[in-house]
Amino acid sequence: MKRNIYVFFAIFLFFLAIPLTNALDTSLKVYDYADLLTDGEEATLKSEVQKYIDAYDMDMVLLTTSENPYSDPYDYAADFYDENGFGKNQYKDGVLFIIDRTQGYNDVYMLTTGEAIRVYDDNRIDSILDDIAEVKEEGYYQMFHAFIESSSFYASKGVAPSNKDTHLTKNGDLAYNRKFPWFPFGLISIIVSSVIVGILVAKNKMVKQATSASLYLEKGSVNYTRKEDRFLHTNTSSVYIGSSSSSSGGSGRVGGSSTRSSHSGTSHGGGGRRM
Amino acid sequence: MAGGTLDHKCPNCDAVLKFNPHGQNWVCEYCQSKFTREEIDAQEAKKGHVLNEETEADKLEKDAEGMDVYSCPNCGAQIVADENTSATFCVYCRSTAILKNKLVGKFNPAYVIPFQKTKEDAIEAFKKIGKGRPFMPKLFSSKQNIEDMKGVYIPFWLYDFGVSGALEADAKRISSWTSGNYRYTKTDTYRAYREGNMTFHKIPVDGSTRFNDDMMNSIEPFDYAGLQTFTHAYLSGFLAEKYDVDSDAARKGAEVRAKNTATSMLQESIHGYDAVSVLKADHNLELLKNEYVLLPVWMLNIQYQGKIYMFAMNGQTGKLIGDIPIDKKKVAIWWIGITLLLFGILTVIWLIGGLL
Repeated sequence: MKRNIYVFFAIFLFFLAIPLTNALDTSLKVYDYADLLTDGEEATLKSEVQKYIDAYDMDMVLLTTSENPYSDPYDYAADFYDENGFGKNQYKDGVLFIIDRTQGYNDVYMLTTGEAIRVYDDNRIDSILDDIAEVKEEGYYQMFHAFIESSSFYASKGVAPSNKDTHLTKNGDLAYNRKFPWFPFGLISIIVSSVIVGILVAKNKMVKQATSASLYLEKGSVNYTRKEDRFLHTNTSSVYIGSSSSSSGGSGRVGGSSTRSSHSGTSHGGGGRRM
Repeated sequence: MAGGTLDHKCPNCDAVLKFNPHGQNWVCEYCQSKFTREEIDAQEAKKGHVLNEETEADKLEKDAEGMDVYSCPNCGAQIVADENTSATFCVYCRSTAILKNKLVGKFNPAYVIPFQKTKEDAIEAFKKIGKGRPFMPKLFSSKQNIEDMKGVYIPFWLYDFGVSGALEADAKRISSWTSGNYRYTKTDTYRAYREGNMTFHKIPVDGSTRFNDDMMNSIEPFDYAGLQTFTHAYLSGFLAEKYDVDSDAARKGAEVRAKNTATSMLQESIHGYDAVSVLKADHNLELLKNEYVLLPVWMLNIQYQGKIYMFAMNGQTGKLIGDIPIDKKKVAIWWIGITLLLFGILTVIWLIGGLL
């Protein structure tokens, strides 16, 4: 009985601990740690973000920081997204936009996860960043606003055409759809079965002209009186085969989206630049 | 010894003696007495048959169609045979008639390989011919289709050749390697000269136009260790033919085979190259020996759907050959079936690959 009480107490403590460790309120969606926005701007942006989330069934997070321990805003953004459990549905679908002031510049980065990787290919991310860059003189609020507007525009168009033949794997990685190889499979099957049937058909033909007398050659009677090989000429030809380049590990490009793995192992797409 | 035919009679009861392939001896059909080759030879010597003496008088006459007519030593009935038949049966009493004048002089065979396979062996072999041949029509190999079968001693010429040959060939050594962005291929060409000599023994050529040459090629090889000096006693119970293609005419076939093999022997001695192409080959053949022999063959005529198919079985080794008709429906079913099966296997592999 005493033991049961301990177990019950442990379970109670465990559930109590969840809200303590997961302290961040993921419903806020706007996290202005670098204090670049007014409270009013934050509230406006939050309602715009909520519209996006409701309309496209993808999460959206806006983030500013001036204390990024990494050299790349990607790392901070990806960790923030993964560790706090943002994202909707099975693949944690969603986008995060960060303005990183750590280096003293506006290092912006757009992070995509899950289905958002398929929606925002590299070209679309570039266009979104262009739209943001256009309004960078007008302040941070305008930059976030441009991000939401441009992202909504592309989300309404659905999956990027360059990613039509892709899908997300169990781990949330982007992969090409496997197309059933009708033609090569059919061709292989027909060729192999034709060869097998041909061999079996040939078995019914047993009457053949003999062309060799090797059965009647006296063993050991072959006596070579001349074995001479004279060198005639040599010839060297060359064919251009092109340079072989190897791709780097950890990141890759499938369809139209470049992806890389975060510290937690989750695949993210995205792109950023200094403004 | 009447009318130019020979027969072998049992010294005990005067019934006909027949050669027994399984025992390699002679058995009296009536009293079951058995006789060895030595006993038969002794009996022949006592009777004083002189086979090598050609006596035209033995042949009675020619009939209107030019067939030779003999009288049966057993019942006296007339036996009609064409000019190439040297052993046959009396149509009335079924006794063997060995036609002496077809086996004397230049037609006297030096050796014979006696039958080792019986009629029953040939029937058994034919019934099993569909094994490993799925496209044979289902009822083809049934015993009922055997319309006619006969054990025939077929005349063969055996040739011994000494061959001296010379061969010229282009030989290429090809190596390739990659350097930078280029793949290099280096081809060294040599001219290979080969000369040599070799000996062939007993290349067989069938000496009868009645039998298809390719079929006679296809039942090779005979085991020449089984060659016996000829005595007509081996023919009792079988049919026999004499040659109608003489030694010089038949030789060509053996020469072509010897030359082909000489070329490949010389070519095989060109080692260490990636590609060899023969430019020319010249061979001088010297005929060392030439023998006339009788070799045992079971000939089977198979009637299937109104057509006759010929089969031949080596009467010594039991090798049975012949072209079997092809059941096109079975071919189509197999072809479609194997194609679908392979496609299915590939699909399953593909699906499993998708799960991993």
